[in-house]
Amino acid sequence: MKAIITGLGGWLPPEVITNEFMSSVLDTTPEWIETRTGIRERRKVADGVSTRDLAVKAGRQALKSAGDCKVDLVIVASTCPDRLCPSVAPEVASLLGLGGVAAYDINSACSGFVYGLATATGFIASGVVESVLLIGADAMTLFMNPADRVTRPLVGDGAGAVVLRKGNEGEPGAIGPIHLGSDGSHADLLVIPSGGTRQRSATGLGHDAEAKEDWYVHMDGRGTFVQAVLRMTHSVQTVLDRANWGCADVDWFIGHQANIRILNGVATELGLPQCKVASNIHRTGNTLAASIPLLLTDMAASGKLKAGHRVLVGAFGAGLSWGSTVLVWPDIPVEAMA
Amino acid sequence: MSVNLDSIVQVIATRFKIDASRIVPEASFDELGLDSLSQIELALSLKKDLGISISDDELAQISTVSDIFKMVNKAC
Repeated sequence: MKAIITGLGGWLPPEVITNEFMSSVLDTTPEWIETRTGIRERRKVADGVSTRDLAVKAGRQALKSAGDCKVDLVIVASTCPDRLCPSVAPEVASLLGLGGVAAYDINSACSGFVYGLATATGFIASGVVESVLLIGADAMTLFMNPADRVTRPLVGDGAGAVVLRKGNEGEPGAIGPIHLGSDGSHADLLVIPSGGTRQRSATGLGHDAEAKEDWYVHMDGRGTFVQAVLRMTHSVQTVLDRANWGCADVDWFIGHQANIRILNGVATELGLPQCKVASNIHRTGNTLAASIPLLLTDMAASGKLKAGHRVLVGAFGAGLSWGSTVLVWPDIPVEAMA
Repeated sequence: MSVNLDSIVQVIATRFKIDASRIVPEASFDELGLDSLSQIELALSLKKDLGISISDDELAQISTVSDIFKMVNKAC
């Protein structure tokens, strides 16, 4: 039994934050940001809009793409939950009119969507469910230190989603071999220190003892860059080997959009031509768990990603965590995002 | 084992698509159009192409092609 992608959709909030704006409020320049990241602009949620709202918009698009089918399970992959408790997925399912279906969140940071694909594949293969709506949604701009010139320009908000159903090996859209990994010894490379039990315990629940900056993202950019290239390279090479594909068999490398130079670094390590590295980071920034389905949506809607194309998917994120898979792209309708 | 300058020039030229004639010992990263991320990218290429590991602390000291040559041969 295989999990088959039958629907895809994405949604970006309308407010655009340009590099020029970032340069007006931070000690940086548009060129500095773009040459080091590939980012020219990113989207930001309006006041009052949360991860839940992004997830509902993307979920609705994916369900529409799949023919407004019913699903048995909703998984939301997110690093930016609406609240510590409960999961946001049940609320998303209700707002999508899916009634009382199973629903829960997973958090594997920027690897969340690939971890979600693995989770959905497992549910379908085990026969527990026949169909899954998997949504990657993040409103990370709300967690960025407004005074940090290094991290603030990197992220944007958005959500992307796929619908998966049970099917057979060899069908277009079938999720191929999956590789996942983690390394908690580097957990501090990319972290939001506050909000969990570790700091509550360390401060005796005394929030006054926490630094304001602990509620924002902290990143060791250099260490993260190196780990991202090495871990993602190993992971995607592993699934290529398992699928018996070479680089020449790959039409598109759909990698997590954190930094175009990380993706180009992975391509160099693999010996994959740079022209096969898909990217929309110039207009989205890093949208964490949403980035892969958002990129798939842009690529499919623009016609660059066509039915029958062989797709290599790779992700890397905080944790550290990483994951990869391959698939042959199916013939499904996908609407362009504004 | 030692690594000659030509091998290092070749790694830099290939990784960053720079004409090898510009990669002279006294050339700085700035003059070659390279930035701080390029140091990391170069370290990855030196590892992949020549099997030589450069530590983060050593990387931070590099500013010219000559520095890279000395660092690589110290690491051999």
